[in-house]
Amino acid sequence: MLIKSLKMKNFRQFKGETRIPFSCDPEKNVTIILGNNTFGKTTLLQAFSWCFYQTVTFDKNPDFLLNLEIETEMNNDTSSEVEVEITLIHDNTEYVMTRTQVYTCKNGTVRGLSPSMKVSYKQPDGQTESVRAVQVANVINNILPEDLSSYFFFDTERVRSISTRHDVADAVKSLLGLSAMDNAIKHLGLKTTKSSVIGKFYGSMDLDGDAKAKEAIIRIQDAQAKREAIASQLDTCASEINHYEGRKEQLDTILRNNQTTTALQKKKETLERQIKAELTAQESLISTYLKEFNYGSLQFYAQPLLQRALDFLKEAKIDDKGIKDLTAITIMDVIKSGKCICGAEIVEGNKVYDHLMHLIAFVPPESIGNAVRNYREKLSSFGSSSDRIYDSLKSRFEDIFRSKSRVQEWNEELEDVSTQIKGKENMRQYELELVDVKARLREFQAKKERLIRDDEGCKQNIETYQKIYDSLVAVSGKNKTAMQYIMYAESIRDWLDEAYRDKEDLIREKLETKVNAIFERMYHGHRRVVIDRKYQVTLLSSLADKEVDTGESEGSNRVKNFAFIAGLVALAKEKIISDSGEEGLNLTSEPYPLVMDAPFSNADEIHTGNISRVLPEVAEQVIMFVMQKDWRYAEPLMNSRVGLRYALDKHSETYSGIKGV
Amino acid sequence: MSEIQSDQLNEKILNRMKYEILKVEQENLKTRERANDAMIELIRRIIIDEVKKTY
Repeated sequence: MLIKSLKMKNFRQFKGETRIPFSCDPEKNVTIILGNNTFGKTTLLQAFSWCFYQTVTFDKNPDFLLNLEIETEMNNDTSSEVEVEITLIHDNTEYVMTRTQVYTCKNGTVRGLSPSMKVSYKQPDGQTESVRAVQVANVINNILPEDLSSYFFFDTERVRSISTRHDVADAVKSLLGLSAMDNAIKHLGLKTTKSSVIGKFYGSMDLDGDAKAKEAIIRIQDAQAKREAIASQLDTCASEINHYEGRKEQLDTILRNNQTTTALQKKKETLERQIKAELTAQESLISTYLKEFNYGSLQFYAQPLLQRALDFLKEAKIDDKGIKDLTAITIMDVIKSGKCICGAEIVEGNKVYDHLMHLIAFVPPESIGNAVRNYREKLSSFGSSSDRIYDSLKSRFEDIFRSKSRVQEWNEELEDVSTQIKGKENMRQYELELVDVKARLREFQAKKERLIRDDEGCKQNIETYQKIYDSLVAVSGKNKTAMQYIMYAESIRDWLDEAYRDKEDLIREKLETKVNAIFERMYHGHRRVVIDRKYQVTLLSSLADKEVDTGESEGSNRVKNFAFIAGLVALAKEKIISDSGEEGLNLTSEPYPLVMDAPFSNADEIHTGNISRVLPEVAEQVIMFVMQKDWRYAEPLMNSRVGLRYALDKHSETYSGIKGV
Repeated sequence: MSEIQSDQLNEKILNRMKYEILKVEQENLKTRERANDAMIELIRRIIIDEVKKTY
């Protein structure tokens, strides 16, 4: 870092705008600002501190930075501003840092608002870019760590505060270029830190991928095997369909070409069915006829004989005075009972008795007339039943005759049809076969469609699992690649860890060596500087065979701190890290300025001379605010290194200016 | 995955990565233009891009 200029506006006693360019000439790297007590030397140093870190250590009214004359001139509802702007070069980049504080006057009281800070930098193409507000403090701290600010903005009269400083190890490491390594280590991170580079690489790996890929390939193979089986079945199906379609075509052709035969065949079959049914019916008719004949044949065949008997009996003269079916035995039984059927009493010799005895002569067995009469009546009855039997038999015979006629007629027709289709194929058989063929075709078509659907399902499964497999294979490949990234990232992190530790130790050792070398040149005595792990500096004196802390005078303390900061600045110029690759990376060859207020205060001539020689050599830029009386001792030694020289011009207690001399 | 051994790392690529990573870290220290997430992504990208060059 080299400071190009400081611009102040109404900052404490520097009323109005004051701009101070500093020498950046490597040969004349010293800028001297001369000023006696109360001229504003400390204010200049505070201007740096305020601009960088918004900190000031004024003894009186430290929070009020506005020039008091300006304050006095302010009216109600007016405002003025305090501004400090530093232009510097750091790591080959020009930065402009501007801190501004607005003061307003209300009811006769002037109060400062919160200061604002702006940092801008020039990009390699010359464009000016502003640093994001949230990163301003980080950027400033990277340029010059605040923890080390009291070394770089060195207030000799407050030098005691340095010795009680807290751990400045991080600040020193940052200044010496280890921040980049430290940040890289943090960013690379660990496997367990998800948001780190390595954590993300691990997070991108799919460790279940291989198992899933195996499962997917098994499923693909299963589906493929199913497809092959389906393909085989489809072939069979297609073959069957082909066969049956061919046969169907043949049958269609045969049936188309033999439609007449088919009709005759149908007629023949119809006739055969009719004849068969008729013969069955005929058998039934004949059976009935025979039953009736067996039952009524006697009456039928006895009919002529009975007719002749009747004719004969008609010619016979028989006095028929008897009562039908009354016999002599019946009359005798009535007489024996003593009472007639009409109720009259029968006594031998009475009229009733006599009448009955007379009647016996006209009834069987005494009289045949009655029997003949009965016989004639029975013959008549027998004859009438014979007529009915005849009619029935005749009717049935006629039915049988007609049936036989029909059968004969159909048989003749059947014979005729049979003659016509004799020698020709049986079309019915073809028709039946065609029906069967059509059914088989439908069956195979349905099977084919089902197989195609199944095949499509398998195909989709294969595609799905293939995609899964491909993605998993890709994942597997991705894992392999991710593993490569991890190997590189972990290798870099391990290297950085090791390099950081090495550099950390090396830096402390080198710094201690360098500080001691500078201290020896500045201090005329025999003491040694020791730097602990917190980069706190102690002076040791050799006593007998031991080194002991013998305390520090203000002078030795000042020299010690000069030596420390000069050593730090000298080390910062060196290339600390250069083995990061074959191209090399110079992380820390950064020059730093030393801004010092009254560096020779309370120093004797020897110390002043030593400091005057050493500081311009080790620091790239030295800015000193010196009292005229002290400068007298330093001037002969430093004069050749002075590039710019100014003198503070005190107009009043509240107004100072600066001019070149 | 275990077949990748650290001795298979390309030393040239490795050094280039170290250089690139430190360079971007150093650059970002200047301006803090990139937040942590962006730096992590940038370093990740450097590693990926450098590894890809080996294919």
